[in-house]
Amino acid sequence: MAEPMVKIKNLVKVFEDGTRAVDGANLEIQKGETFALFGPNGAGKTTMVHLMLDFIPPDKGSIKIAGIDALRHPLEAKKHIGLIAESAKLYEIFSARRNLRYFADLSGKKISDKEIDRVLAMVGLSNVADRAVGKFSAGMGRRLVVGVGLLKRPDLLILDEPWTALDPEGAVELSKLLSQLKKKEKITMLISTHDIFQAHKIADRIGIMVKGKIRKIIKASKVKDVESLYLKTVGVAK
Amino acid sequence: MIRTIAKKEFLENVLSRKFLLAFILAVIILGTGVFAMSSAYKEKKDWYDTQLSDLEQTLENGTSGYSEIAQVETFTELQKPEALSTLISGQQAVQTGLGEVGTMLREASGTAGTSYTSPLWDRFGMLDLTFIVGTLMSLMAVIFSYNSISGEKENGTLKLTLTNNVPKDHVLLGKYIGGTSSVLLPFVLSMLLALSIVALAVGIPFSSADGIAIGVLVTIGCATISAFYLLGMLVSCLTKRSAISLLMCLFIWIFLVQGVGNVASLTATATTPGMNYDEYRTEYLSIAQQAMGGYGRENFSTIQQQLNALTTEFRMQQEAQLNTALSVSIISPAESYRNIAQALTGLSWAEGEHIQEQVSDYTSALSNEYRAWQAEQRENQGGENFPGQGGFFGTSTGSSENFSSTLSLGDYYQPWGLDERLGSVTNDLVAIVMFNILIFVAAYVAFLRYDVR
Repeated sequence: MAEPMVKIKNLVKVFEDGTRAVDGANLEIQKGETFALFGPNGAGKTTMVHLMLDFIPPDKGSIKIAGIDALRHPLEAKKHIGLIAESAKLYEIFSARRNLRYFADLSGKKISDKEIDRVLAMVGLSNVADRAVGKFSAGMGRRLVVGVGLLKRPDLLILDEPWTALDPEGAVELSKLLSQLKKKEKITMLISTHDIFQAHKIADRIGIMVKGKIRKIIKASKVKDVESLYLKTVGVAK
Repeated sequence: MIRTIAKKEFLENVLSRKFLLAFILAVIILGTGVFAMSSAYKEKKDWYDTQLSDLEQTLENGTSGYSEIAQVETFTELQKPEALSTLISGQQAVQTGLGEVGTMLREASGTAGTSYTSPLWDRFGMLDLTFIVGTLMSLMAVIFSYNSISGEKENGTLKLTLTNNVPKDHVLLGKYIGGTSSVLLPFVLSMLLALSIVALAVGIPFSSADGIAIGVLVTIGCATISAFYLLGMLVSCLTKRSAISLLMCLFIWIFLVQGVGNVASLTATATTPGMNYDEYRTEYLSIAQQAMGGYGRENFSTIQQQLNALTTEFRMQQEAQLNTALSVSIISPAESYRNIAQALTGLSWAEGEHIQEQVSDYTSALSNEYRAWQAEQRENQGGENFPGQGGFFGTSTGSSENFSSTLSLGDYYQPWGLDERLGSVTNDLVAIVMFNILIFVAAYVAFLRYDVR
């Protein structure tokens, strides 16, 4: 069997105040798969994403990304990761193109201007590529952040609350874009979100995290009523 | 990677409104400051020429005492206006100094009954290079850097940056290089503009030594500004919110720029108590008046010794206080820069002391020559009448001949060169460099531990 894109084993993170944000989480995401991670506030979704990105160190467990030990070689692992961060705003004084150029140069990969144009087209910002980001709407800004995540053609795209601060129109637009990416680019995606409805449309599998543990993992196609499943799993409904 | 981040940081700052504001302020303040000081320089130059002419005329009219010769010589050498005073304001240490040289200079000034200093400058001060570096640019540096890390955290761009194959030290170094360069740019540009005004428009000539001193001043100024930029970065690495970072930076800046001087002075007076200047002057004049009031020649040396002892005691006490204050003030790069700037332009206390010693040597030799001349006069006149009998400072009444000296102050007096001036402020130079290194290391450690979430 092929090496999974993400392999997390018995991951534990306890904060200084004693909160067990991640409490023995296990997860495998296969290449090309879209995995949606749901959970209430404080469930540990974002903490798990931050552990994968080496923003904070774990207390226990292991993380492998594209076969690389992400805890021992975080910089190597990051070469394979693209991030669409929650509520990220880019440098307002620069144009969309300059922002992408900057992150392209940071990626360590040789990314041509043509590639940047391709990403701009992909996220539907070609016509405003040279406009200062400070003049963008929230939706346009979000699309540009998606562009930053896609720039280096990552093997794994992590989306942390991608629909936050978007109006319904912008949310649908982003979902369409992610569906296209899934079909055309075949990128592995990990979506950490509260928006169970948007994520359910895109995901191959769904995981529900409660109090630091992934309580349930299920194929998205088998879920007819995602809201009911979610509420039952987190213990709000019976 | 470092270059990419530095370039981004530089452009982001340079294209911002705060850069434009910094540039305009630096140009206006340094430009007007230099223009005002150039006017003061010209004013002083005119005054100096007039005074010198008057003093030389006095000599030509004839003198039988040595103090008038000493006055002219010291005035000629020590009051000469310095071209660098167009950039750094302040009084030469020897002018405010005490003892024989100070007395002679005051008397020399009193001869014409005027002063070159304008009351306007005394009241309102001058915005010179030390103000630009120590106050304006240091504040700009802090304002440019207070959100360098916390601001990126708030915007989420720090996460995006660190998702790439970029080590944290590269991020910090890149931000430091780019950010500092963007703050130094308005400083260097406004300096060039100010120097052009002084050299071309006002026509004040700078010597090659002045040019080197200015180069050193600008370089150390850059290091000082860099220290404040790093300070802002450190605070930014210790806080999660830009608003809190800004407040903390402003408090620290106020303390370093305005507070340290007062703390240093209070520490010095508390640890080294003694007589103040008024007490010293009262005591000095009391002894001098006794001498004027009819003491015989036999008491002259005793009184002179008393005055010298009093002056030495006062100067030693002042020096001890000053050294304590300077030792405390090196915690602030702004204060260190002021010390260095004053030293490089020949305005330091240490150089004043050095000059004092040399001038004392000269006046002693002149005095000896004068006494020898007196003795010769006595012999020639059969011991009936001798000049200098009634004057404490060697001014004579009743002489039929004038005293002229073969000695020149130039044989004794050598102002410090750049290396000696820099040597006198080694502690301050080391303090600025160490401040940069230590704050960078602290910022690095803080950034490694920084919660980017």
